[in-house]
Amino acid sequence: MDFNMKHIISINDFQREEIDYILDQSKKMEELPQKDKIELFKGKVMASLFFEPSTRTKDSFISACLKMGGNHVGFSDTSSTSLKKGETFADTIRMYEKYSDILVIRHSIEGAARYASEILSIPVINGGDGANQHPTQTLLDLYSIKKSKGSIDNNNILIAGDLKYGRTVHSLSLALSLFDNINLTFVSPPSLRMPDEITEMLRNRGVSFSIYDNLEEAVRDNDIIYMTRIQRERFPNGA
Amino acid sequence: MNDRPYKVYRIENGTVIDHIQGSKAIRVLHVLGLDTDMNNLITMGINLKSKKFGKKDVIKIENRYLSKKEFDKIAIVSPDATVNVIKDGKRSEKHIVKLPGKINGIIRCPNPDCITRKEKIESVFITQHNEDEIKYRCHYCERSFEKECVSII
Ligand SMILES: [Zn+2]
Repeated sequence: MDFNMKHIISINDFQREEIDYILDQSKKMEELPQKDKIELFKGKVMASLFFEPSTRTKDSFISACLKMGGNHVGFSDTSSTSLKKGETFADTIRMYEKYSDILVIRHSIEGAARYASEILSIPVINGGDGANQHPTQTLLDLYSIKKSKGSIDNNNILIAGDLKYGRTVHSLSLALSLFDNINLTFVSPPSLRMPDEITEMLRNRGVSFSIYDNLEEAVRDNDIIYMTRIQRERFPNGA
Repeated sequence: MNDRPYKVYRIENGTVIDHIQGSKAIRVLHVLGLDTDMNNLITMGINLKSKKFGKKDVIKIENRYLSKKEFDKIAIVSPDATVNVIKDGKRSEKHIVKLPGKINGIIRCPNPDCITRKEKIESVFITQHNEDEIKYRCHYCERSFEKECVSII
């Protein structure tokens, strides 16, 4: 499979075969001795452009880059850059294109990474674009399922928490729809249910799923339980 | 165009937009920018009787021809409208407007956090048909919007 110049912008861009390929490569990377790993990105530079701060995402990319022998440039919030001086988004990313071989971008504006991938001639990885996509998070979730169960097919997966606003559960559910014999159980308070848009897409793709309000009722024969944090600030009266 | 089938002024050269859904003509004029463009003679019939649709609107514009992009704009407001090109009093072309699968630079994304609202980028929408319902999906923020929610640039 040729991943040369392929961007990672949205999990919706991926076919099942491509996801399988990435997960297989990830396993190989995990098993590779450090002395071999350090050769993979030697002499290369990653630009990590975090227009919105996210320490965990940024450090995970930088750690991967360093372990593979690469170097990195970039910023982790926009207060220290020339963006403050009125430089446009397009100007900023075009400048970093000259300095680097790959660009990781995080932005609160939805579609920022897609736009970057269309105007740059180096590969772009989306490290999160507002409420839209965070594809590497989804790939990591899929990798964890595969690692613990041996396969992603044939699993009963329970997903609980804030299913309404949590973008990771939307992306994960849609990605799982590419696999065979997946049963999904969604558990959330009624006010935080999976949006109709997502359930409609799952129905169109023939994925079987059920919806519960109560965790005790829902838990049975699950192979995987995926919990998300419920953000209290979304609740009326802080209940 | 030999007879005068509608109670609307006959034109020698220009465009007749026919079979517009009843009372959508003003919206069609608006999306084509013809409500502010006073250079052409425009006549309009609203809520005319139509055998096929019950009611329909017709717009006739003298000495003005439409582009592909303008066809697409009409299709978003009123699918199934027809565009007739009139030359020397005769119909020289007839087109039925068709909603394109990909709509470039016509729809404004309703999502205020979308990159197309912040940067100078041409919007791109993908038309989604779900049973009888039409939705438009933004290529950038990936959100889908119902027909009624979108506005035209
Ligand atoms: Zn958008």
